[in-house]
Amino acid sequence: MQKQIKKSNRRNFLKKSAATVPLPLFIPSSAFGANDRINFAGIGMGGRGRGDLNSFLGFSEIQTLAVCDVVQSHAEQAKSAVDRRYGNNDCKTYVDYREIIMRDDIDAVLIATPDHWHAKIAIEAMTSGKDVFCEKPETLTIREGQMMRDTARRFGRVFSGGSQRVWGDYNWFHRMIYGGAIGEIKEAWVNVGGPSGECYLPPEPLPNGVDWNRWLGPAPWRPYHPALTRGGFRPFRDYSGGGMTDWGCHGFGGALFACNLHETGPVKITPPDGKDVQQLTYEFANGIKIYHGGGWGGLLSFRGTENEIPFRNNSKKRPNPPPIHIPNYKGQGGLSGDFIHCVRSREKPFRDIERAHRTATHCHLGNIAYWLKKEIIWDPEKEEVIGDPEVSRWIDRPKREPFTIG
Amino acid sequence: MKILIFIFYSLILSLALSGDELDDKLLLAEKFVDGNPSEPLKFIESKAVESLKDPQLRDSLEEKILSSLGTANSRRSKDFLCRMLRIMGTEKSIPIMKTLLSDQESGHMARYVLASMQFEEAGAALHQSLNTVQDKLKQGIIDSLGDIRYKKAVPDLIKLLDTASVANNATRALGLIGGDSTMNHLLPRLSKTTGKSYRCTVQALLRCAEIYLEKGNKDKALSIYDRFTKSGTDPYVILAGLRGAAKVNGESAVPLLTEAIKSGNNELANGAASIIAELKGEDIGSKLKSLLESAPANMQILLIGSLSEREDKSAIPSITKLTESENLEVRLSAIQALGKIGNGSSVIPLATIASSTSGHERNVSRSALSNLKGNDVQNALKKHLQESLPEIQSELVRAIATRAESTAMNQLMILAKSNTPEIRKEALRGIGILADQSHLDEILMLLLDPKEESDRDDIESAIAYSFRRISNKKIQTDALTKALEKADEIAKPSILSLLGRDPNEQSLQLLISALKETESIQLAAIGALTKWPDHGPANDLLKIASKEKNPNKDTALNGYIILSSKSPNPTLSYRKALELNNSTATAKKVLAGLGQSGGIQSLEIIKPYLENSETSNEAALAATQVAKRIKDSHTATVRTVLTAILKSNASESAKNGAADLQSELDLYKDYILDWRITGPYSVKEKDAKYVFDTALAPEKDSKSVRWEKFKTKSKSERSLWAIELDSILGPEANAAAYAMTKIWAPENLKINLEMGSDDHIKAWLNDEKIHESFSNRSLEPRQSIIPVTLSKGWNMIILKVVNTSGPWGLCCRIRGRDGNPVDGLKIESK
Repeated sequence: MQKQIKKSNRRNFLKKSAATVPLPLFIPSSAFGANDRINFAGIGMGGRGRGDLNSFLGFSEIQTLAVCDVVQSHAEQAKSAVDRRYGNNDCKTYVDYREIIMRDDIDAVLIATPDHWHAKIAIEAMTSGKDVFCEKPETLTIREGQMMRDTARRFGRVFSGGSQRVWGDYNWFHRMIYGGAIGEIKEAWVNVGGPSGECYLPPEPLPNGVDWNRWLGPAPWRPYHPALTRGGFRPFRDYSGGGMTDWGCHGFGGALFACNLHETGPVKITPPDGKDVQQLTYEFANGIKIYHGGGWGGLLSFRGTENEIPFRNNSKKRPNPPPIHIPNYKGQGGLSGDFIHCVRSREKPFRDIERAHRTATHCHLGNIAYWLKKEIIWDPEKEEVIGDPEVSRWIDRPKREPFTIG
Repeated sequence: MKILIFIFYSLILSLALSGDELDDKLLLAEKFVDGNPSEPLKFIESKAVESLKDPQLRDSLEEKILSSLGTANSRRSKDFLCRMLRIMGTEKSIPIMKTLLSDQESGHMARYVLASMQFEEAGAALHQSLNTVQDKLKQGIIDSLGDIRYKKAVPDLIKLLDTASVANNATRALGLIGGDSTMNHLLPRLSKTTGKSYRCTVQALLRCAEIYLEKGNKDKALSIYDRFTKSGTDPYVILAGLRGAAKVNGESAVPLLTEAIKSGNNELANGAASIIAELKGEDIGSKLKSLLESAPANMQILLIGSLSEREDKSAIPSITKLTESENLEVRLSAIQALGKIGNGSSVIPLATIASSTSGHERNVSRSALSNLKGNDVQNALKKHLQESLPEIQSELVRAIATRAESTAMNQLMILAKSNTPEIRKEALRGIGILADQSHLDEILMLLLDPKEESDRDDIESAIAYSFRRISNKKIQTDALTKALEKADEIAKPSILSLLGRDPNEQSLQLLISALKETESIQLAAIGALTKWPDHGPANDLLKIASKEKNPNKDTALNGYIILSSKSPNPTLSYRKALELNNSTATAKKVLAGLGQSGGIQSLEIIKPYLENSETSNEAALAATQVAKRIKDSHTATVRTVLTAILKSNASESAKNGAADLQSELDLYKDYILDWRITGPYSVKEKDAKYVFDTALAPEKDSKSVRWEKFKTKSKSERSLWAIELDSILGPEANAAAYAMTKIWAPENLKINLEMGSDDHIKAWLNDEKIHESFSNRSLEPRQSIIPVTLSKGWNMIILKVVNTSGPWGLCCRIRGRDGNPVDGLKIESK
């Protein structure tokens, strides 16, 4: 074994064996010492990013050292929040995320940029030994998700996706279904927005303090429009998957988990044709169908062999679900706490990259079916389109130079 | 026949028409720049999608698009046409795309097409362009060659490893393609590169190794992994090598992994332990066990963790031995591991530890004992219950109870009469957890005849706890009734206490009857009735409280006061209590009760106590609680009460609630309701963001529009402080309304404008924009507090509120910089 192994000036705490984690921790955190905090940075500090950062700032296990955004005012607002939290002026701001990636003293990053940047930053961070918390939708294409997953596994990195709702909001459904309250699950309906499309926004003068070329990054070039940098990029295909991925990662994520399909994928995706198929339909190998739209229960509805939820009688209070334990977050403090716990214990978080990628893939396949108005036959084991080269073209998109992805 | 001819010509005409329409759209697309109408492009895109199912259309459309590319005169028009080819282009598009690869503006979009296609010619086109483009375009082409795994490009990519500007791109591409040449050229670069280039090389080589593994070439994969495990410097890179080596070699990788565990580097050790835990192989456990005894403490913990994660039961003896380690953390690790993988043989070791330690170690052992799985565990527990030392028996009893072993009830009942107090205590605790209605009579007999008097409370608790599992409450009450008949003077109070937890008519009558018995039994009955779920026994308690010479009268009065909160008229009930006894102690209890349940009449009772220094704190708290309940229906009275509280001698902390409530009431005061409105304004097919960003007529020239004094039909409480635009203008989506008013100030004045909106808002003061917020939200007061300076005289405020959808409204008021109302202002919208 090489003698000159770099001393890790981070993560000096002992591993908490996964076997010991479910039981009370046997090593009190005070034994680690004050220097064993997780050094953290936030990349993409728009509204959502600052919201996530605020959540992490509430954890004493985290020390936020830096923030980054191509919009100067976003970075400054984030810095203010960090400095206020620690009572100093030490938080560094960057425009170029690579400066954060190159810092050896940073253990983990939060990525809350627009979707088209997620894969590039996440892969570079993990290749540099950092763990990643990435907002949903975690990917813009299916191939990006595969690359992110492979990189995480290759380097043993902890990657958490960002949907706090899959467990936080929808766990009643999971406990009802896993507990057998509706029999065998057969169908699910997910009501989220539709696909994204081309962007035809008119050009606007570029204001000071916005690095537009960097904001575009791997996406095809187009002129500046303020809506894009102010959170209005979601409807546009070059940057996001529209409502299908925005709320889709929550809704489909919840449906897939409830149906215990969150680590696989559909075998057929059929877009609506206005005749026989009224809603985009995902079919799974075990016969379960998930529909985009419809249902009666707001965002999610489920039908099993014995019952359906939510109950159609609105006056009924939701009954307590069966007392079944479903493994979910480890540690305290929701999705953020789960990530922090897993950074220390090296376990896979609840929204591990495999689940996040599979959910996003599910949404992307739906989008492709909508865009091309074609039925897709999908192999969830090999993660390939079967027998349709035109559909296969949409598994990935060539990135604008020089913004290579990993 | 005529019909057929008619149909035929109609078809031809429609095709011709659609062909003309398409050509027209393409002409527009050729000239497209952002900002032009997008309808022609959307039409072409729909045709492109349609063509995927129509070979004839696809053929003609592709030809037209390629032709248009020749005449397109803007970057964006070419981009768009390339996008269409990405959807439906064939090999025919490749030559023109190839020529575009060297175009600085369109090179990316040409790649967008070529790299998506699964044609050999597309890959060849990219490859051939490699030497004809420079700089960023070259980087892009290299990236795409890697993405499409174009093997023929490998020799050229290898040459580019020496060109600094594209070396990393070439490295990446080679890693994606893999193969012997890649490996041979990238391995030497590990020692020649640093920083990002080094990481790029690592990633590429690991990908290369994975490709070898997919093809079954383990030796070559291993040669790459070995390079990292032997020469890597970053722990996570070494771990990547170890992970790979473990994948290739399985069990044979254990020595390498244990070396990593011994390395002294925590990250490496942790990672290696995780890898070992996931390895498959029967021999791994024994290898790990052989290391366990002699390893240093840190390593022992990791090895224990790995064995535990592997659920290797053969490690139980070795791990059990480590529960006696001198190192606390090793002991704790071993105890927890036994909880996960242990069996019947683990029962006594864990129970011994639990009985002989304290604090965290005891808790962990108890937890582990509870978590043991397997039928032999149950048998072991029962067996050792008979044979063990008392202190260990006590732990075993606890474990039986915590594990909810229902078949152990017989043993527990016997142990409930043990000579050892600790065993009796644990047995009773277990009985409480496990007993159901089939055991009720038996446990009640315990209560009537306990081993020691000191056990009575524990027995009573156990019975009370078991009530949760008794579904037939009649059986429960009947059993208690029977027990009461048999109970002596000493046992009766316990039975009565249990009847209090079993509230029904039968129990109530028994308890009320018991009020007539001896002092101690009466006291027990009072205690039980005090916890009654309704006001039923209150008067019975009041009667006892009224008897001057009754030694239980004070207890009865307390009980009555507690039940008063459940009375249909709590205030009257509390008043009776005070009439009976108006001591300070009683007053404080009554005030607490009034705070919980009193209505407006209770304020009269509370008032004199506010002025009394002995009771002013309790009175302030009570009055505040009452005020909160009635603030909407009796606002004026509440304001008076809050003022009195704040002026009283109560402590600051007792007054805080009143101060907060006063602020809350103030939240909806003094809002400007005199506005003139103009609207709604919307822009066809444009969303709320566009409407928000666009200067509409009132912003361009406020005098050019008609401002109307509005009329609202709303009678909601919100209309008392907010302007409900949806009620005035209708439920418009993606629309703006403007509101205008004027404020007169006697002098230049620094104030705060406190505003709220649903949804987005912009504000101008005297034509200067002072605020904007684009946010989908519900209307609330004080969502934005904007400091401004009013000029002496008249000042004009204009608010623009844009609605996305749903409710629509605004609110605005003026406050001083200190948050207080400002005097001397006039507001007029004329």
